[in-house]
Formats: sequence, C-alpha cells, structure tokens
Amino acid sequence: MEQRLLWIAGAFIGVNFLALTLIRPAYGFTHSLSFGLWIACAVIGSRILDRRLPKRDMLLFPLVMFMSGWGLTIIDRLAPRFADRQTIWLGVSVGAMLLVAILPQTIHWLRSYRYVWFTIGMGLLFSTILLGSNPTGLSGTPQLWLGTAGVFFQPSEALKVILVAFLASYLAEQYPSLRTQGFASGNHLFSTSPRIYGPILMMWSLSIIVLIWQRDLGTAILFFMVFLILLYVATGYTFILLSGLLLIVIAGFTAYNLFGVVQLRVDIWLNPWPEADGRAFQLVQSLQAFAAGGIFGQGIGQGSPGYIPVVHSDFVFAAIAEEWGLLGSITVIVCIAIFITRGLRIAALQQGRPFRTLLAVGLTTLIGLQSLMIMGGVLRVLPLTGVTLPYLSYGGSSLLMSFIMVGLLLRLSAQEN
Amino acid sequence: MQFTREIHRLLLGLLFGFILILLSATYYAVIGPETILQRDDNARLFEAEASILRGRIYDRNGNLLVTSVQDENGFVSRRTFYPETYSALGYYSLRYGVSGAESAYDTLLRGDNLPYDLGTYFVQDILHRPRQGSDIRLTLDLNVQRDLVRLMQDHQGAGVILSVPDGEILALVSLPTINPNTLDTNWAQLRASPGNPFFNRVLQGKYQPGSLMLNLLIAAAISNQVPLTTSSTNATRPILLGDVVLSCETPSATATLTLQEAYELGCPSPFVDLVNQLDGENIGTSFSHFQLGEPFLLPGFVSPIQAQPTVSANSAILSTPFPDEAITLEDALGQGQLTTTPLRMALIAAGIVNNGNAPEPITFLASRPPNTTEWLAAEALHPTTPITTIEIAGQLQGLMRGNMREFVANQRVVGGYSALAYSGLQTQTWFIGFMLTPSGRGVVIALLIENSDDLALVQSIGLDALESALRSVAVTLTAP
Repeated sequence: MEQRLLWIAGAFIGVNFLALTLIRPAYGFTHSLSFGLWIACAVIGSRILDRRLPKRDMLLFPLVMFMSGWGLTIIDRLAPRFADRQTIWLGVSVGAMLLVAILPQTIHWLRSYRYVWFTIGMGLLFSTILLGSNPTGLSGTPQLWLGTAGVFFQPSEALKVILVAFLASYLAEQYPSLRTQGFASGNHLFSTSPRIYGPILMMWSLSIIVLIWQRDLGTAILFFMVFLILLYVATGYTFILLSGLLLIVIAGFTAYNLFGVVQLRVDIWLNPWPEADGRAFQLVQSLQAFAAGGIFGQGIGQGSPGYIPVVHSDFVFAAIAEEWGLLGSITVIVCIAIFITRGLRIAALQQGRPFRTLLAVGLTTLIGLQSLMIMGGVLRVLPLTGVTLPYLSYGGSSLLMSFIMVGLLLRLSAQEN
Repeated sequence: MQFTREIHRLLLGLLFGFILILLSATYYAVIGPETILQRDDNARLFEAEASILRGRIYDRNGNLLVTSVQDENGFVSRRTFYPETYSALGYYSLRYGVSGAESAYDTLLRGDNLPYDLGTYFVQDILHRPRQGSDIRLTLDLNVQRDLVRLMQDHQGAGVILSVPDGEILALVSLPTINPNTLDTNWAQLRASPGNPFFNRVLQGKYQPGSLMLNLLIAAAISNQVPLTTSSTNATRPILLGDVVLSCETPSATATLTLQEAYELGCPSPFVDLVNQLDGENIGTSFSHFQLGEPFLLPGFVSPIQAQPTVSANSAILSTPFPDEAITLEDALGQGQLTTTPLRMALIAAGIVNNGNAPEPITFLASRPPNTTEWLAAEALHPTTPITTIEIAGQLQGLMRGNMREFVANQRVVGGYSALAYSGLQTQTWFIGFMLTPSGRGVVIALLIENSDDLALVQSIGLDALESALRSVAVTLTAP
C-alpha cells in the first residue's frame, strides 16, 4: 500500500512540476533537481523502512512525503530562490527521520536522558538571546535563529520535540499519583503535592518565558496547549483543559494590553477590513486568495498569491487555496486529519507503556495544533500566530523536526506492531 | 486501556477544529467571490483588467488606429499608432481610466457583451486565457483627422467634420492634444499643462458664438417675414455691449446696408435694429429650434478627469436653452449668457445643408467579435432633428454659398461663414462651412481657434480641411 501511495504522490508532484516548467519556460528544467531528490528520498526511505521497520504504520511516510513534495512545488512556484534550500533540507530531514526511526534505542534515549535533552534545548534557546539572528538580516525582527555560513536553525523547533519527550517521560512516571490524588481528593482541594507538579511547571515556565522574551508567541501558545493536553491525557481531568483555556483567555487579555504585536493581531482578527491596506493587508490578501481560488483553483502558477507577504512560509495554505482551490484546501486538511488519526491510533495501541503513549500523543498533538493554529489564522478563525504549516511551509528547521517526529511515530508504530 | 478515553476525546476535538477550518475555507471559496473579491483593494481585479485583450480600433477605411500589446508577463498595454487621433479616440489606462471612444465603446472593446457560454468558461476560467474584446470600426477618417490636426497644429482650438446627410463624424480635433502612448509616464506633467490637453474642446468647450448668431438672426428675420433686403441706415456704427465693441469693416464708405449685406460683412448694427423690430419672444422661439445652447453629448464620450476649461471656453457661464421669455440683445449678438459647443455648431451647419434637419452625429460603424472575420454593421438609422424649415435652410445655405463664391471649383458646392467672438479680453474665431458634391452629399465643418482674431486664417483652415475631407470620402459619397 505504501508503494501505491508514494506512486500517487509522485504523480501529483510530477505533474505540478511539469506544469510549472511549462508556465515558466525560462527556468528550464531546474525543477527536475527538486523532483529528483524527492523521488530519491521517497524510494530510499521506503526501502530502508521496509527493511528495518516492516511492521510500521504504512500511511505516515507517504503522507508526509506527499505534503513535503507539494510544499516543494509551492515554494518553487512562490519563491524559487528558496527552493534549492528547501530541497536540501528535505534530504537532510528524511535522513534524520530514517536515523531516528531505525535506531532501536531512540525512544529509550529520549526517556532516559530527558534532563540532558532539556538542558541542551534550553541552552540552545537561551543562546538565541545572545547569538540569535534572523535569516532575512533585517533588524527589529525576532532573532530566533542560530546560524553560520548561510545555514540557519531555529532552536525552538527542536525544543518542541524535547519538551514533549520531557513531559511525556515525566508524566508517564507521575500519572498514577496524579490520577489517584487529583485536584480534589476526599475533602482536600488541590491536595496534589508540589513535588509532583513543581518540576514540570518550572520547566514549562522557563521555556515559556524564554519564548516570550524572544517574541515567539505562537510557539509559546503551542507549548502551553501541548502541556495542557498532555496533562489532561495523563490525569484524565477535563477541569485541566477548562482552566487552561481560562488561563489562555486571561493571558491573552494581559498580552493584548502589554504587547503591541498581540494587540495588532487581535485587532485585525476581529475586523481586518478597515485596515485592509495597512496592518491587515496580509490577512485580507489571504482571504482574497481563498476567494480567488474558488472550488477548482486558478492552477499552479496562474493565481496571484504573491500579493500575500511571506506567502511561502506562514501563508502557504492561502497559496494552496488560490491555486488548487477548495479541493486543494480539503486535501491538505484531510491529509493532516489522517496524520492525526494515525498518530493517535499509534498512541492508543501502546498498551501498558505510558511514556510511548504520551510521546505519541504529544508529537501528534504538536502537528495537529500547529496546523490548526496557522490554518485558523490565515482563515481568520483564530488570530494569526507566527507558526508554519508542517511539511508544506518553507522552513528548514520546521521540516527537519517534523520529519523527526514522524520518525519517532514510525518507531513507535513498528515496535507496537 | 489507559488513556483511551482521553485520546478519543482529543481526536474528536482536533477533528472538530479541522471541520471548522474546512467550513471557513468553504465559505470564502464559495461566498467570497461575490463579496471580498469585489473589493477595490483586491489587486487581482487590477490583474484581471490588465490581462484583458481589448479589441482593436479601426477607422472607416480599415486603418488600424489602436491595438493591445501583450508582453511576456501577460501584461497588456494599449498602443495608439496615430497620436493625432487622441481627441476622438481618447485614452485607455489601467490607472487613470478611459475616455473618448475607448470609453464610449468600452463594453465592446472589453468583450463584456460577448456571450458567456461553456466554451468561454472553459477557455477563460479553466485554461485562464485572457479575455478578448471585439474590434470596432469608427466613422473617423484617419487622413481627414491627420489633415485637420496638421492644419490647426499651431493653434489652440477645436474642429469637427461631419458627413452629410449621414452625420458621421470624420474628424474630431481638440488642441492642444496628448500622445496617449506616454500618458501613464507623463500624467502629472500633462495634468499640470497650461493648455489643458485633457479638456475636449469639441465636446466640452462652451464658447460665445459671437457673430455666428447673425445666421440665426437671419433665420428669425425670414421666419418673421422680414425681407433680407430691408435697409438699415448708419449700418456700420459700432455697437457697445458692456466692455465689448462690435463693429465691422466695409469696402465702401456707405453707411446703408441691407440685412443680407450686413450679414456678409458681419456688421452688427442692422441686426440690432432687427432685434428691436422683432418681438423678443419671436426671436427666442426661432432660436430655440436650433438648440444652440444645448451641448450635444456624444453617448459614452466621457472623461474621468474634470479638467478645467480655458478662459475662452467659459463654461462657468451656464448655458441655457432659450427660454420662452424675450432674449437680451447680448444673447442675440452672441456676446451674452449664451454659449455653444463646436459640435453643436457643426450640427447646425449640417442642418442648414440638410434641408433644415440636423443629423444625429454617429461615430460607430461596425464591430467584429474576437477570432472572427466578419464585421457586424451597426443599424443605419441616421435620425435627424428638425432645427428650421426647408425654406430658411435653403436661404441660409444660399447666403453661405454667396460668402464663399470665389472658392467654388470642380463642381463642388461650397459655403461658409467666419465669425468673431469675444470672451473677456480674449477673442476666438469661428468658421462653419460645407462642401458638397453635385448629388448633395458632402461634408460640413465647425472650427474654432482660441486667442485669435484672424478671420481669414480660420476660413482658410476650414476650407482646406473641407477640401481634404471631401477628397477623402468622395468615393463613398458618389452613391446617393
């Protein structure tokens, strides 16, 4: 089945690259390098996985290869000068995925050395305060990357996986206590020992503070949501979700009054039309892209998604909507929904191994929530946040960590099967 | 199994979120095109407009005047091969709108009138091929237009030539003019130009008719049974109207002139006596048939620019049709509140030639849908409006022919009248005239030169333009 799905994905991507070549004859067949590398990654990846993880989930790899290949065509269409870079990152990411998937001790290492990983992650994040840069080179923009010689990496992306692993391992040990003690045990409210909640709250708070310091509010919200969900899954208390949402509202209200960027994003979310030419330009253009795409889309290279600033990154979903129409949007949503379903299925099948279950839940939730946040943002369902659409957006660090997550899920699925 | 319930709820929650996303995307994809895509800030509207291949514009003889040129990026621009045709054709600019014939026939040129069938849907919406408009053929004659521009080139003013009895506009010139090919790049400079090149003097310019009114006074005299042989003593005395002194030069010292002689010499005094003799209401009634004060609006020939007229074209004075009340002496002599346009004067001249029936001016001959070879001719209705009686028209025609008796040649019937008008401190000269073949078909002209008092000049330009026009259309005018 995986072979068939990869063939279908390859055909779709190949046709789009061919169409792009016809539309832009001046570029010649430079797209063939990207497509060639994609084919190589698909073939090699499939072969290695067949040999080393024959009992893995058969949908995950074709899904992410399909989305990442589609992302390559979009980036080549929207920002050709970034296409080569993204292609290289795809190769690196698939390699990292395979490494993570085939090494038998990966899951064990994540669990056993959680403090080491967390320290490394926090160290990298802290280092952006002093050594951070922005690939655009513009001043005044968030300095969230570490880079040299033209190669940039965003530590917050790595911290996503590290934090999930850390939380999963910690909650896997403590969840029996959390479930028996709970927030209300007998006549005692909040009787849970700080010894249990303290370390994870501290670790989580530290990461949130650094992220806010660095003005990466989207990732901060994502971390908080993942933390909430993992805590909910571990404890089974719906109260946690509700109180967490309340905290989000309070924090949002506070941030609105403290941070101009938050105020901006909420204002244009509520009513973008009066400032369509100004602060809400990006959002309005995104909505117009959806409208322009209609049901069947304008066709690759035939629309005008270029009016959307930074369309190849945060707003790639809008570009898909304009050129592949509602059908394209539905395809993306269905792909991510299938990914979520498969990931949570893997989690549910990890019987008697809470760390693996929570790890799978956390990784899947990361992908799902991140996708919801950015798709909701470009569609004005939610305020905009500065996160990318996994596998489709331009961004090497995001692509790398997303593939590593898939590698971990494949590892988990194979071991379970 | 542990965590199963929570995982299921999580899955449902995430899927619910994706359903919301899906519904939102569907809303914008389905409803959006009717709402937010129509917003002015949608740059795609501009792109769609920029990609339209507007139809070509031809003159009556099939000369290509304007075409659309598409560059390698699909961006379409408009190219005018003969900038001298700007006064008639106007301009097309994505940024600054349309004017002239480009505006009047915008629907045809854009292809908005073409049927939207399955084939169109497939080509435009699926294959995203640019929309093509229809080609149009106008009544304009390139050679006549160019000749008129060449003859008027050193002056500022207006000129329009019609064929009679059809009313087809052969030339329409307003000077100074612009080169529409450089409009976008020179926009600010052109807008600030002191000559107001965007102001179409033929269609929008409202001028004092001056001694052109003597033609209407003659008509009033005839209709009130006042013989043209009626003498007037002291006929050469100057007439003071406010700050303006109207006078004339006579070849002899005699001060007694008939109305006809006063008309030929342009002496106002006998006409003052005529106005005093006739009832003011009768004159007003007679004048009202000519519709002098009503500017003729060529349908669709609008300009998005509200250009200010020059001092000579004093549109600040409201031009009113003659009321039923008595007119003033100033109005009767063409130096009052009454103003007129060169196109209206041309129609009056055409009416005089056409037995008192002024033709409705026509600019459009045929259209040709894209990717076809057959021209679809416009209905040849040629409506007319009676402005005077056959008798009066015949007598006026005779008087005008008498004015031009030394220019008759080659079996052509030539008539005309030169006039002077005052606008504040400036003067302008008028010439209305006609040149006919023996069959009675021909051409008429209304010509105005601003800041000039040279009657011989305006007459010379007018006659040369008529000569050129008649020569150019002679073949089509041989058949009745």
